[in-house]
Amino acid sequence: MLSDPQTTSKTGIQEGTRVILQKSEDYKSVIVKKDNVIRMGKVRFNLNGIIGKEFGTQLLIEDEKLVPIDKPTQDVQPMDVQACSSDRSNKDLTESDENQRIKQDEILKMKEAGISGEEIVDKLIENSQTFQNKTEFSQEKYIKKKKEKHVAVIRVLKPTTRLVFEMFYRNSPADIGYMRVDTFSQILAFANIIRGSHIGIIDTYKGLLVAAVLDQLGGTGAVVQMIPDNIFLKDCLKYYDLSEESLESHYHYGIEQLGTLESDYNKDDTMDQSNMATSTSSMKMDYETPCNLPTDDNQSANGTDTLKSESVESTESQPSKRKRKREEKKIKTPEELEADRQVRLKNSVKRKKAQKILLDKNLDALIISSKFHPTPLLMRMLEFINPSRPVVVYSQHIEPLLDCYMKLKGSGKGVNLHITETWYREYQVLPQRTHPVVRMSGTGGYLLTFTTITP
Amino acid sequence: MSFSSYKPNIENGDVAILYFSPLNITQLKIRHGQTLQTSYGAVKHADLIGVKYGSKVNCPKGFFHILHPTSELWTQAVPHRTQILYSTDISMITFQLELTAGSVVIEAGTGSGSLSHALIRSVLPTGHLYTFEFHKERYEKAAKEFEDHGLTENVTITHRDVLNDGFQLEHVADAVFLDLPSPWSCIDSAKQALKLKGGRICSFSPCIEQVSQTCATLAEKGFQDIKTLECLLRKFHVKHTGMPKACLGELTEVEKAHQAKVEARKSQATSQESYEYVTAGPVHDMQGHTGFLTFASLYSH
Repeated sequence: MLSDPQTTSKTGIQEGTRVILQKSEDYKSVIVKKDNVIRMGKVRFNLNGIIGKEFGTQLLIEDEKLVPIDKPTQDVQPMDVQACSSDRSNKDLTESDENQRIKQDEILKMKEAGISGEEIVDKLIENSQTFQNKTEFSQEKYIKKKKEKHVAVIRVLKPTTRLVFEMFYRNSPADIGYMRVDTFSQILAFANIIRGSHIGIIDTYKGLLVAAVLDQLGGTGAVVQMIPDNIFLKDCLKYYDLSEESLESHYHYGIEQLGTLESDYNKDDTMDQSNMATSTSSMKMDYETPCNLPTDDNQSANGTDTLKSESVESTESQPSKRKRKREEKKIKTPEELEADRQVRLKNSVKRKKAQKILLDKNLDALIISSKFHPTPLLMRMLEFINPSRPVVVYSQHIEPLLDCYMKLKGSGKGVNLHITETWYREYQVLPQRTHPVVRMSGTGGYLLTFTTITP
Repeated sequence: MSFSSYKPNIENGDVAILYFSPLNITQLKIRHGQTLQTSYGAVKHADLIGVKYGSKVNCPKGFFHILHPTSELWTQAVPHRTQILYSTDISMITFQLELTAGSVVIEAGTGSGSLSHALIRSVLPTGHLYTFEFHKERYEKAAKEFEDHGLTENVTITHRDVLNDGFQLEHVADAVFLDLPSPWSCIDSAKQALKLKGGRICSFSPCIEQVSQTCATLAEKGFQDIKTLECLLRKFHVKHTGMPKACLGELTEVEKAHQAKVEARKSQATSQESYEYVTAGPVHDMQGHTGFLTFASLYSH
């Protein structure tokens, strides 16, 4: 069989690689580092077993280590069973502590003795008084439940928008404004992200949309992130494996600075020195304003952030990082000062490019998804977008979008206006037992979509 | 090249979207010398050339807006040769298949090409779509559309019945999309077409029995993370409306009020007091079912 060159990397995952670990429905983003111990749910393990493996590998957690697995485990087991042909039923089952002969402390002893999870599950089945009388379906469910508890398997995955989104949605939906996957995917589709286009985004939900759009643009065009109230969020960028070009195509600009856009741009042109000063001061402002959501630096300070404490392991312990930062501040070698100057220069060049896109009214799409009232933001930003371009506004509630809608209708700045929501349901598909998943999300938020027209 | 990049003005040979109303969106290939007939009267193509995309175009008896094509607008304007996929399912498919710049994706069948345009858009500039259609006429029309839309570099369309003859591709694809009557009979071929490092698959089926068989086959062939879902679009009708206020008949005032009302009604029939509000209600008639989407991952095989 022919194979394409991309698939034959012999080295596998190396230290320093960003991966996503999947444990049944649970996701966690980590950087692979030797001897780094992480926790997922109730199990702890180190990441040494990942090094050298390919993406997609399944590993078994045993004795706090990741070990290769013989045969892959599967969520859905096709079974040749006929629901009606079963002569067993659950009618005689009663709840009792005596149903299982093996007690909790015996299980713990077996675990200590190094008996594998699979074997423990086999023993539990053997010693269950009721197992043999259960229907095939109940038996299957029993095995699945016990396996989930005693056999811990993880899969190592390459970070993608789908996985990063899933991780946030499961761990901290409030951080992403309770946006559901169908809503999120529609935003990305409606914005018509094509090569080389300039996408304007207002995103105060962890920058998840910013990261997804950057990934989609693949280093071409530009993402101009408009910053309301100095809330600059780009947390999500670090969960990706974005290329240098992609990161370079990320620009940001304070919304309140739009008032002086033209004079700022012209000032930059004429006085190089002062330009540098203004740009650095404004950059600083962007970074130093305490965000309501943590970045790496104040990660440990925010104990309520479940995603941070549960899903994301920093590779460095916080105190050492802080100390290092302090040391950095104290002494700066000439080389470091030069490097700083280079960074400032680069930032000022980037800033100018963002200003140019806005001055030329050259945005090709506008996405608004923030905690701020969308109408003023939308009406302001419409000044900077080309005609015949898509605009998408997300809101967790419908009322703010109604306000936008009425204002737009009145202004005549768009056509094909729609306010929509999507209804989304997952299914359990098993032979003879297909039905909608019992719990579902009641709402995934609302979208306003339209196309801009010439004034 | 208007589908793969934006341009400011309409040129001869472009495909543009004509927006009359939310329910009347059509497409037009601009050809110098031809005339467009609309319900608002005739417009010469030559008059449209050089016009900025997004402009209002006046006809003898009305107007429309001429828009730059996007794959979403194309879905609203596409000539239906088959039942088509709409943007709600399409966005879910492109997202769940993890398509990004450079991905290689397979689609069967092409149908009216509504999804194909979104798939190509997601993998531009370096990616590729292999799409298969077993109906000769539909195949020809879709091939012509891809050419008209300047997408030929990023798409290969083949006239073949993949249910019988397979994709005949080996380890080139990152993702496979199946919209076939019996998708399970194509899964072996799909697996062979997926890269050795693995990839994503999606099957769209209207009937639950199809889903059942597809899921069983996917599991049997070693696909993982099998997930079936459904999503439907609820459109909201926004309007400024009001309700008349009923007279509660306070007795002491009743005669005065009645008198005043009679007077008012005489002078101005519409001045009845009412409670006014802006409302958004789901439209009464909505599409209740499109199809079930089944997604799965294949890891290195």
